[in-house]
Amino acid sequence: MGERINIQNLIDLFAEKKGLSKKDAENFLKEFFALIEKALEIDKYVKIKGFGTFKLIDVDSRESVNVNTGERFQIQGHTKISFAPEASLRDQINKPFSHFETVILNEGVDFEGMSVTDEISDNEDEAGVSFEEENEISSNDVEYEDLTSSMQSEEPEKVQATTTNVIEENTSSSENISSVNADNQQEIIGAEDEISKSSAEIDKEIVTSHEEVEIIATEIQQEEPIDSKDISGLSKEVHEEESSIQAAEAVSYAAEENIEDEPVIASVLEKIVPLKGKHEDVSMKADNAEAVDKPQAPATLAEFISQALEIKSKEKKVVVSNNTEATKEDLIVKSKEWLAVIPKEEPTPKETFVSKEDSVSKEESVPKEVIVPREVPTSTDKFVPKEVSAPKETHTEKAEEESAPKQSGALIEELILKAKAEKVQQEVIASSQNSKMTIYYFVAMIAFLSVFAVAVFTYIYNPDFVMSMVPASTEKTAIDSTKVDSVPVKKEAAIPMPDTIPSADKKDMGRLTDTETRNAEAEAKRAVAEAEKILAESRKKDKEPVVVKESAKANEKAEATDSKEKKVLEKLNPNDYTIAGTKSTYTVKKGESLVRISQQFYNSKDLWTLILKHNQKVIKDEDNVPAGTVLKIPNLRSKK
Amino acid sequence: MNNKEFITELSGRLGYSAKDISDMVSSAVSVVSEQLQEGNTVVVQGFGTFDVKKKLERISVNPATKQRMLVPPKLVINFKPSNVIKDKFK
Repeated sequence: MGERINIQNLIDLFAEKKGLSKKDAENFLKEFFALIEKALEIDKYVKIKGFGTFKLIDVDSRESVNVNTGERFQIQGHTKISFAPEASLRDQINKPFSHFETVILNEGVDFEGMSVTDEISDNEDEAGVSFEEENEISSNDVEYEDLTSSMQSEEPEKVQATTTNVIEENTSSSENISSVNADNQQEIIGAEDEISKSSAEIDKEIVTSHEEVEIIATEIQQEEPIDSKDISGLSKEVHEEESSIQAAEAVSYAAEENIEDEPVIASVLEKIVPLKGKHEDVSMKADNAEAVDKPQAPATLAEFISQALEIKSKEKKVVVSNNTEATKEDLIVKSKEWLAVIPKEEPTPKETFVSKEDSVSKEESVPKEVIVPREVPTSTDKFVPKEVSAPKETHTEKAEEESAPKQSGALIEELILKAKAEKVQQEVIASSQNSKMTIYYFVAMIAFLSVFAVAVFTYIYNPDFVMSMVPASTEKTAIDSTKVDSVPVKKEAAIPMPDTIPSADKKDMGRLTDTETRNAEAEAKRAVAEAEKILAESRKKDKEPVVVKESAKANEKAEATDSKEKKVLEKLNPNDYTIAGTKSTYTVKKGESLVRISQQFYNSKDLWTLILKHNQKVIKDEDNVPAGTVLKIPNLRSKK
Repeated sequence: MNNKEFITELSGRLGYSAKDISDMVSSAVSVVSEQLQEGNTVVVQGFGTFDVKKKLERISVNPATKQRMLVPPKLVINFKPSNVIKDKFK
């Protein structure tokens, strides 16, 4: 490598190869190169089979600038020798890199600085690695795959690590997410960290971890009130009345929908006592939740295990909800791309409004259907009709957007079926709690995937909807992460008008901080009242732009017709007129043309030919009448 | 001067048959190319230097279609004529 082979080495190698004497070899090689030189001199061109072509190329003289002095100087024309290796030799030399192929880059893929800064190492493996890295720049999909794969593995800590990573990356990548959102996500991450720490400690020491878990549980409980205060008292009551099994179910469902996260946590916390009673159940679950060594734990451990389970479930839920968040953000990114691709088809404000509501109703239909089959108290039923009313409104407002509600309807049906199936399963497998847990987990996964699939289908078949989804979904993530909008009514109100959302969010934030000192119920009432206000306002606002737009359109139309009429008036046929003497004389000014003069005298551009006809002696070039030319303006008489 | 003429001329100068010269040329070329493949530089006094250079990957744009392509890195033979021969043809 890197050795300099001079003619002597070459002679030795050549003699060895051909079995010639060194003298003959030297003779031959010297003659070989001398002849190339000679042939170049004669023909300016030598072609040697298996090697390549030597050519003399003339270079024209050119001007250049002395870099040091800035002086211009002439580079004399000269002849240069070029060597173009034959294809076979070229390929042979390029063998180490032959596996590379030219890649066509897609739109939007930015390699700026990549090819410039990245040194490709001599090692082809390293080169290949860097090549792959380039292909995977800023693709959230990869991270998402990582996430899902690690989801399936039974190491919650790992999962959490990846999810937190993903969240952090996503927050940094998606600019649309508000700082509020970021803050809340950080809070979530912090909570996760605490939980994961606690679970790690559980493995080590049972007794000490028991205490720590208690501490953490209290911490969680301290955190809970803040969030749960924002939840309306009604929904809280609903979940309080649920049984422990339903709580477990709720965990799996909450995984699908972040909206329900907080109530579920509350309910789980409250269901610790009943869970304690089910020692078997708890131990099995704990077994599931990596506490493998402790199934034989005595009755004193029951408490601890139940709390471990509680943390476990929360962990799981957090993980899954994070996953949904990640996918949502993923979708946002995708839909952004969509937007970039189809920038022309900008949705009207009305459309955005409608489809947003659709999306919201779709989202909300999930928790709704989760609640209904479980036969929860009437308080939730109050919510249901309200939620249903949203899609109905949109339905009447715009018939075009029917497909989206329909799809949401399909989703609802799907979920009903699933819920029923789950119920049946619950009855059948009531005895074996362990398998039940796994099944719920599995069902939750399936449900989540189906939601995802439906979303994808909506994207494929309804691009308008997709585009309008962009702001909606960003909002959604923001709302989800703030976890303030657990009440469906509030969310409904917050979404309809994009302008009102930030303000609503801010208000919610303010509430979040205020709630530490205020009563939760009063808060909820106020929230509902405000939400209704916002809803009404947004409706008003929504109608206004449409009206304005219509009036603007009308104006435009009127203008268009006006101008058309003008043109019609001006359109005159020169053949319809005859010249009847000279009306006046006119001296052409600078920048004037016959057409312009025609327009000036006859209010028509079309009669300039008649002026030309009348002034043929004066005008030499009709396209260029010099200033100062005196024209006779003909008097025109209509033939008709 | 094409390959055939070159072989004929060389055989006339050296007194070998055209077939022998053809063999010898191809083996000489293979010796050079082997050295180049190993990454060595072949220097021929009074004629020039053959060496292998690595071209970095780059993004090329098709001016007609505006399509951007990532051209992979590659190794190419570079011939640098000696000053003697350069001056001769100048």
